[in-house]
Amino acid sequence: MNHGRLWAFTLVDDAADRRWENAVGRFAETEWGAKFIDEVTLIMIGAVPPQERVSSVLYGMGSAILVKTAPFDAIGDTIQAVFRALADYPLPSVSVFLVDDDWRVAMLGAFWSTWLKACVAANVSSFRVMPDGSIQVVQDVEVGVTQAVTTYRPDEKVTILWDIPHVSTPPRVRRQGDGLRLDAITVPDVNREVEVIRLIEPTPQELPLEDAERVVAGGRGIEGPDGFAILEELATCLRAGLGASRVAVDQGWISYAHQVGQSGKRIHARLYMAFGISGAPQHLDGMKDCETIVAINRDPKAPIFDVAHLAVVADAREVARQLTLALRARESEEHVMTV
Amino acid sequence: MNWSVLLPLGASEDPLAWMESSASSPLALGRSLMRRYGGSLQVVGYGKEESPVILQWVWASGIRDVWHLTTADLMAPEPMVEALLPIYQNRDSTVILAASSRDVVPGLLAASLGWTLVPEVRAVSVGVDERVMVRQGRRGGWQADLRLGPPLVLLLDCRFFEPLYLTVRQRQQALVEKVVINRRMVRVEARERVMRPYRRLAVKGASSSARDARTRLGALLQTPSEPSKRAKRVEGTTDEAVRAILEFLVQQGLI
Ligand SMILES: Cc1cc2nc3c(=O)[nH]c(=O)nc-3n(C[C@H](O)[C@H](O)[C@H](O)COP(=O)(O)OP(=O)(O)OC[C@H]3O[C@@H](n4cnc5c(N)ncnc54)[C@H](O)[C@@H]3O)c2cc1C
Repeated sequence: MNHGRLWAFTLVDDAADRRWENAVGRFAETEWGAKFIDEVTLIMIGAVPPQERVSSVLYGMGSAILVKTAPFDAIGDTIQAVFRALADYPLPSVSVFLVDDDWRVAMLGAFWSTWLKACVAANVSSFRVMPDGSIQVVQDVEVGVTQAVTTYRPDEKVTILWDIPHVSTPPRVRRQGDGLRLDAITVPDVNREVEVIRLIEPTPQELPLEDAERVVAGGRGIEGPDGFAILEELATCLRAGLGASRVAVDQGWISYAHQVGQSGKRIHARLYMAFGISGAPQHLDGMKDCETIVAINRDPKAPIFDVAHLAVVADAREVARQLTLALRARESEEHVMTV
Repeated sequence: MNWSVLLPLGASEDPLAWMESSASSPLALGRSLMRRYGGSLQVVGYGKEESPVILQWVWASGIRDVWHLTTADLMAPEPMVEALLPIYQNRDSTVILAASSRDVVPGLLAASLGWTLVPEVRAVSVGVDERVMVRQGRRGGWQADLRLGPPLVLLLDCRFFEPLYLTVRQRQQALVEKVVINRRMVRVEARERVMRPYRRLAVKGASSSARDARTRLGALLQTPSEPSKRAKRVEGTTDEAVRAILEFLVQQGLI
């Protein structure tokens, strides 16, 4: 016996924002009773990626509605317009918001449940659609101590704010064949009450490593705080965050917020450049999942080269300095060409 | 401008620890905004606790419009929001200040009132035209300055605000002074809820999750091959090294 539709909601901020892939992957990996639901639809809102990209990573969804709209810096009239556009489709009995560390997803869920006149279950660690169509929701009352299990009747509409579990391994990427229905709609920005006066670009010191698409990192081989000043200039050119090994942090050359590794941050950047870092297992632990790794080290046998895609045997400071100059020259050349 | 602070009140909280933590910063911000720009300040506490010391301190800090809504079931936010609505109806020039947290009450309240909600707020001020100026943190370390008109709900990133400061004298006085708090008990419909010891959630193993997706969709699933981890190696002068890195970054579409 099957019971209607489930919509899974995710937000996308910009082209580089690929958190939705993790969210959807985690959702597919979790036991939630998919077999008792007729249709699972992914609702993606914001700067939605191209359709081909979505269909290649849809992990067990039956269809997707891509709602292209302005980013949600304020949740107001635009989101109400998005909801009205979604009302053209048969509405779900279960709505699941895939919540990561971004509070906006949960707040969007609150707005949706109010709009849909549904019950809302927040801080949900797991849920199950039961054979009779009722929904069992598990919420953490005190993490590690108590959980509450609530049952919603089959005739109740439920909005679930599901906390995506933090698992260190990335979700398995599985490609899907034919049979997926994709719809794309565009909703114009009608948040007239919000005026953006200016945007302030992050400096490499401020860019949170977990968010950075590129990271320039230094270790003992960068030889001091002045070495990090060189790296900071390079990071500014590359719009990258600044990372460091534990030795560099322990020496006081840079603050702990920048430490990458087992006892620092684990990152998944598109580019990781390691300057004068040996590649101890505790450091590799934090950066080995980066897509492209470039390592610069004087020692041809440095273990960091085992995980690198480009291994450069050279002096770290010299390369960082010259690379910054080369990138600047390249940028001004491009500027001249476009003027 | 009417400033209103929404304060979730935890049952087991040590009041002193609360005051010294960032949880009290919406209150401190409300106080400083009222002092700086004028208008009124209201504090609305909600939670399970019977008679929280925190609200006595709020009174002692000079705030006279204090509300306390209690509920028997904190896990059902809708009745709480229902009870909050009358406090805010017809108050168009109001700005609600609440901490960014896992609590959905501010979100549900904004949605029910039809007010705009602004998340990740790092600084608040008022412009000449009575519009609210907000600095907002965005993904990737970006920030934005926004100008908005009330009514609004601002979700504060409390790391960027000072906690409340009350002198020992103010705190002691609060315990002897007679305080007048608007109290409401929120009625909740009993919903079946079972408490159980904490259990880790079940995540499927690789094979069973693939099987599940396959049976659902009849789709052919394949795993893309691992990218080659064998490094391209460059040894030579600094110039050669820099050229090789640039070429590599261009090739990978990274610059
Ligand atoms: C429990 C525990 C947790 C830990 N957690 C972390 C962690 O989170 N993060 C972390 O990083 N470490 C961590 N460590 C420490 C880790 O084991 C290493 O000691 C540390 O990563 C080494 O840092 P490094 O590569 O900068 O220094 P070294 O290992 O000293 O390496 C310096 C490298 O720089 C090269 N070099 C020197 N001069 C130059 C130059 N002029 N040009 C180019 N290359 C040069 C050298 O050839 C060498 O390879 C942890 C250790 C323990 C025991």
